[in-house]
Amino acid sequence: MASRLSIDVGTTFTDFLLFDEQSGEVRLLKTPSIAEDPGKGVLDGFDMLLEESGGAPGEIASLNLNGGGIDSLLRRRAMARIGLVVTAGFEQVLHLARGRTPARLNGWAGMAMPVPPASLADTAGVPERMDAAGQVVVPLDEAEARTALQALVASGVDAVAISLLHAYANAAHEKRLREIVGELAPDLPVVISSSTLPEFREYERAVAAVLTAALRPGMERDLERIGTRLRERSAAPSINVMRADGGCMNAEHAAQAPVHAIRTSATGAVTGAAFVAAQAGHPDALALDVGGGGAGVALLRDGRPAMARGGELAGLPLAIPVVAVERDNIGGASVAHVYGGGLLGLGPGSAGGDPGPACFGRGGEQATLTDAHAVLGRLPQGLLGGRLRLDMDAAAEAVGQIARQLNMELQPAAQAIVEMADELLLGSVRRVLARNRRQATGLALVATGGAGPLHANAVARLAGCDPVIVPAAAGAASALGHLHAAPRCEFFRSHGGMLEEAEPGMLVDIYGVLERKGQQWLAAEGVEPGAGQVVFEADLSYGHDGRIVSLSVQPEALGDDGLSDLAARFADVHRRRFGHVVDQPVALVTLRATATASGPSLSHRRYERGDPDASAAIIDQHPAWFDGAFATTDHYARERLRSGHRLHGPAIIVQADATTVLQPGYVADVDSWLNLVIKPEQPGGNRAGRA
Amino acid sequence: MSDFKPHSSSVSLDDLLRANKDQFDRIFSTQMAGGSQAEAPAPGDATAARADATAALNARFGNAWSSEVVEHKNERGLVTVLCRLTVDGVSKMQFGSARANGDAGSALRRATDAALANCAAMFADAPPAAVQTEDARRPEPGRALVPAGTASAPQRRAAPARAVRAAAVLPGRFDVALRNARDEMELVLAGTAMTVPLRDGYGQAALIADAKGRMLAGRFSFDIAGLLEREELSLEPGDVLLLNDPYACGGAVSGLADWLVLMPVYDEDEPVGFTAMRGQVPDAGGPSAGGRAAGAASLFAEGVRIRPLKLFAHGELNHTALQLILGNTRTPTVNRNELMAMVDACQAGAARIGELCRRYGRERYVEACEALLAASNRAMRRLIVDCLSVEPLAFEDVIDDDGLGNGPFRLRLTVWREGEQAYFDWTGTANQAPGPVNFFLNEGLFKQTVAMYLIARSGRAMALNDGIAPLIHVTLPRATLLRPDAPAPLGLAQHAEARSLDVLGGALAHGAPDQATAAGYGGRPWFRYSGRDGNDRPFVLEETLLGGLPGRPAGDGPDGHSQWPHRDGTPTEHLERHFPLRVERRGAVIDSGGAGQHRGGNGVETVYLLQADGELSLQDERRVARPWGLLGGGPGAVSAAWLEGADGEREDLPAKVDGIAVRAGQRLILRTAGGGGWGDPLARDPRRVRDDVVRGLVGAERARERYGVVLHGPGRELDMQATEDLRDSMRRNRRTPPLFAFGGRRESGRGES
Repeated sequence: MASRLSIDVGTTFTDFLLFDEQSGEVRLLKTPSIAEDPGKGVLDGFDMLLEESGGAPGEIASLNLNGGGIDSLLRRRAMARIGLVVTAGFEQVLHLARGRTPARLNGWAGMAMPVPPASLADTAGVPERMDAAGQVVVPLDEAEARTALQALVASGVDAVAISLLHAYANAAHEKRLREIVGELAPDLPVVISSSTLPEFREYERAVAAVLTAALRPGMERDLERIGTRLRERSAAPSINVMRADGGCMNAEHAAQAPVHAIRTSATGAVTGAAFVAAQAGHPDALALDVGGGGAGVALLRDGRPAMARGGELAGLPLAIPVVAVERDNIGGASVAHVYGGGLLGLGPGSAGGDPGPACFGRGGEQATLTDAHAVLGRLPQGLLGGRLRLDMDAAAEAVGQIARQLNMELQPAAQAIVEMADELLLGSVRRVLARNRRQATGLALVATGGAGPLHANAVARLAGCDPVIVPAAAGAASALGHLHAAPRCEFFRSHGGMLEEAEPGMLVDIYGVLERKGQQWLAAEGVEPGAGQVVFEADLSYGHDGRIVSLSVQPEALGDDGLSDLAARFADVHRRRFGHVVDQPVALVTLRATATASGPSLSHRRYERGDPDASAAIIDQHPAWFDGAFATTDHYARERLRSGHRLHGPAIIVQADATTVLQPGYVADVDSWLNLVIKPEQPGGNRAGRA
Repeated sequence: MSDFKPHSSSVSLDDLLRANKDQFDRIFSTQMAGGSQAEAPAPGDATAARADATAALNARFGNAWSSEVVEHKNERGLVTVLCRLTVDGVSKMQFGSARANGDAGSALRRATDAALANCAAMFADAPPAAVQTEDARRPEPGRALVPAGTASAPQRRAAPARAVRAAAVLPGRFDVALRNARDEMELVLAGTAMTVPLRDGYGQAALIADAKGRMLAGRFSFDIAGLLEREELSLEPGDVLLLNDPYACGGAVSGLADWLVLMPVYDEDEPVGFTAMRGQVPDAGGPSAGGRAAGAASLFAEGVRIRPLKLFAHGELNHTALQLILGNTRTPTVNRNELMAMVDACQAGAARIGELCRRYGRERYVEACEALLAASNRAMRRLIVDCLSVEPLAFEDVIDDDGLGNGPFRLRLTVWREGEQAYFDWTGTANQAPGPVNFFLNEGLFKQTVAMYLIARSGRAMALNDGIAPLIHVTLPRATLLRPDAPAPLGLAQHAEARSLDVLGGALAHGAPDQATAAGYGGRPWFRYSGRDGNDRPFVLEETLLGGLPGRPAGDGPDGHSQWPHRDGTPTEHLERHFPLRVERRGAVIDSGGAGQHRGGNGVETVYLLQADGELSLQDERRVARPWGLLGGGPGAVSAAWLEGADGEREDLPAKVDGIAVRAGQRLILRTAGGGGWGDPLARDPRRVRDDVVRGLVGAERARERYGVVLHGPGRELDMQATEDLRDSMRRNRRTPPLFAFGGRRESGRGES
């Protein structure tokens, strides 16, 4: 019996999701993450899960894994030492960066300078020069270059990255330098910028080249260890690594391009939400993920996450396609405080995972958002399926300190803290909507993360979203997203000329090259011919500083009137998206080709709808505080809820890794996939601005 | 009743010694009544301040406070008072002082207020009674009504839900909601704007104010009520005001290409506030694009001036006025688009205010806004007392010239506090300049900037709003560089704007230099290269220059970064793709940052090979007066610029040039100033000095001369023993370094005197 395992390595916990292909059922497990050796955490969980499920290791056909290890390597700077080779005169490209300082007056005063991924002391300039059209201005001085490379190699660097000016337009000098390094030190790994992210902008391209070289050994080592240990257990699943664009890639591709594996935990939560939203029949939605340490909000259009170009990690920009997530640092561990003449504040300070909220009983004394929920009676007696017992007295003590400073009673103070979080999350939602020029009307809100379902009902009420969907695997949404990931990779070439002056034949040739790269990539992923496809896009803008719009193109249709059609479509999309057109010539910025394969068609088990009476799922009754008073509130066990059940607010729905609050005046229906679908009891009772 | 009777027009110190809280107000009102005719008023409005001080104590502690004067003295005009403040049985004693200036009575009052403020600051933050519910049955604060999570039968609380909610809806939440609304306004404008400054956000600023015009959340602040009163404008629903005249709005906009729209906000026809949006337009007419004519002698030469006018009246667009305005600019379509996007943004903000009024009720919204302003007022009082000195401390710096051969222009600021009131006096600042380097300093924004500096220094957060405004008193003599008289030209205000921040930083550094930063390369120096490229197409390249940032408590000043927020350097690959030039070299200028425990950032040198004939304009500063160092740190190097012919002949350029001819084949070399250093260079870790030498950021000679670090051989090995010996002898043989190091002048390329 084949099954698929999907794993999300987070900073605190590692989530395991085992999908049985035959029954369509899902089994979940949560274990603490091991920062120093993510692979060990993965293997430990693997063993535990198989022991629980009684399955055999050989039954696991695929293992989808996020790059949590990569993020932590980057953050800890536990990377290889890289020698950087650049065009002479531009040795300080990483040192000067882009010169940007934080976006507030005197923001530089407290700015922590990002440490360049390659030291200026390990950087060598070589005499050579291309111009923007890829023409050689100064030929490569091989004798000088050899001397410089010799010194670099002798200094003991672990690998070499080569990033020359305008190498995206002509890679000849980079390739020649790679050969020379090969002659000097045959075993030394070399990365050239024209093959990692060949986009114009020398700083960003150099960062990508250096990080690729620096992260590769760590990625290779982690994946190899996991593979070896799986083989020891006579398991040989295909291993896939998650990508920041929501797709996945095999282990070999991941080692080649580790920068695509950043921040995939947050990405997975969005792609998981997108799957659930489409499944529940609400493909246009917002995804709200709130964990212990932070929150993310993303827009889902037609069942797919909105994309952005440009990732960032540890202060370094990466010009890669990413799922667009609006991040905020509001989470369960956010600390409440009184400041500025008696104002209540929440965050940005966090109690983190250790000691964590006071109610975790690990010595935390500060009042966190989780403690406020505990005081209001909105949490079960224990989290993680009872493994973490909550110390309600410690929560009351911590929140009581805030209450005394505000000269308030305990519960109103706790309510104020929770509502502060609602307001902050509402801000993230509104920023996402404003960036996309969307209204909340007509959008569902998919809530994930341990704390997302605690706030989703209240946030949706404020924002005007309807309905709220809480997936069955709300606390393991990233793992769900990883399960459904499909191979995806983008290839591109910077262009930079004016559209009207472009030569259609040349564009067709470039797209041809990109297509071949895409097909080769898919083949290496093991995608059957015909099961994958390569789609083409052109990035256009008005002039050289306009907004960039990506339009899909058919290369074969670019001749004749193809270019003027493209210009007309660009104007049309620009007007719709930004409200205007500009009286300027249109520039063709970048040509792109995206190789994709359709995802695994996994049918989750669909349950027949039954009786609405959910009373059999009530496991407890507790007073919980809503709107200024305690009310007896039913606690439901999520795993006992059956399709067709209808719950009436106020209610608390408890599952191992997430708690859902159903507000008074709202009902929750359990749908065929066991999602909770929350709506106002009175139709139309969910307009923006209603308290 | 007290039996106190004033026996003269001035209060005797003995009277005060006996005085208690009840008597204070009477003594002082009598004093003011008697003294106001004969005596020169003290700085600020003493009556208002006095009432303010008592009101603040009442607001904070209700009836639970009493006070007494324990000791007092008058030494050479400096009156010092020791007060005891008792709140709920807990007493704190603190000194306060004020300068007499021939009016001992007034000084005594202010000194007493200062002492009480100091005492009050020692009590922990507490919100005022006014924000609390008036539920007399309320149990002890912080006590649970029902233990959470117990399985006992739920109890419905008798108190009405409304009373409890009033307590739960705290001003802190409104601060978040209003800042969210402000962010949304800026995103709405960014979403449909055409030009980069508005799309990227650095050329725009949003504001949300209450019905009295006081800023609640915003990136700027100005006197809305004063504007409407001066202009005799009464706004009604559907009205939108437009203006760009800095002289009409107290400098809320900095020049004619900076447009401002203001919209009144109503909830069911009741005025509940204002939203406003400031945004740069690419051109505002006048002889030079962008309203930055370097040779302008008056505002009239800088573009079309818009006095406040109703762009919309009752929702009707004033087409005639708009056409007249747009017709006087080079970019009517873009300006119109940006203007309408600004109106959309104001509407988005107004919608959120309306939503908050519906969510909580208008009265509660207004109440919460008042509470929010009051909280910041309380927080600011503490900051003032903790961070500012009663001793007036002055600082001055200059901008070199106005581009027309005049200068230098001095900016001088004197700072002190009296009680909980802060005084920022720009007296001593140079007269306004003939050229367009005047900067109309906006008081509202300046006060917010002061708050930001004090927040940064104290590490204590607070909400930034106009609740702080009554506590900060700004003196700006007229016809000066920072408060020019109309129609003095303002097109190149960024130099004086940046320098005013250096001067503010310097003035505040006196009290806590270890929390302050040195000076940097400037604000937003820029250059413009324009002409026709090889295909005979016109091009205009305008680039903001990066340079050396100041040494700072947090660490070294970054090399070659932007001192103004949110600016990127332009990638070489972008420049070469779109403009007829080649960048031959770009790198930090070795040794241009001032030495220091945290060294100043190095300036940047860029070599451009020009490939088309055209025109060049440059607006740089720090060519003569060097960015100063702090606390033992040395000053940064000055800026430089020159053209180099194909034959290698060098032509030096002044810091400010306008539209000079350049030829293809010439090289332009721009070198920005370095930042001042922070702290004693001999305290810098020798390994970090070596690291800088190895990376080519500090020379080996300077490492020895200024840092006392001895390195040997081609490997630059650090000789720890020789370094320690050298440092010892340097320490013995030097004088105590001054707090500020301004350095000599004209030491191009070197950061030390």
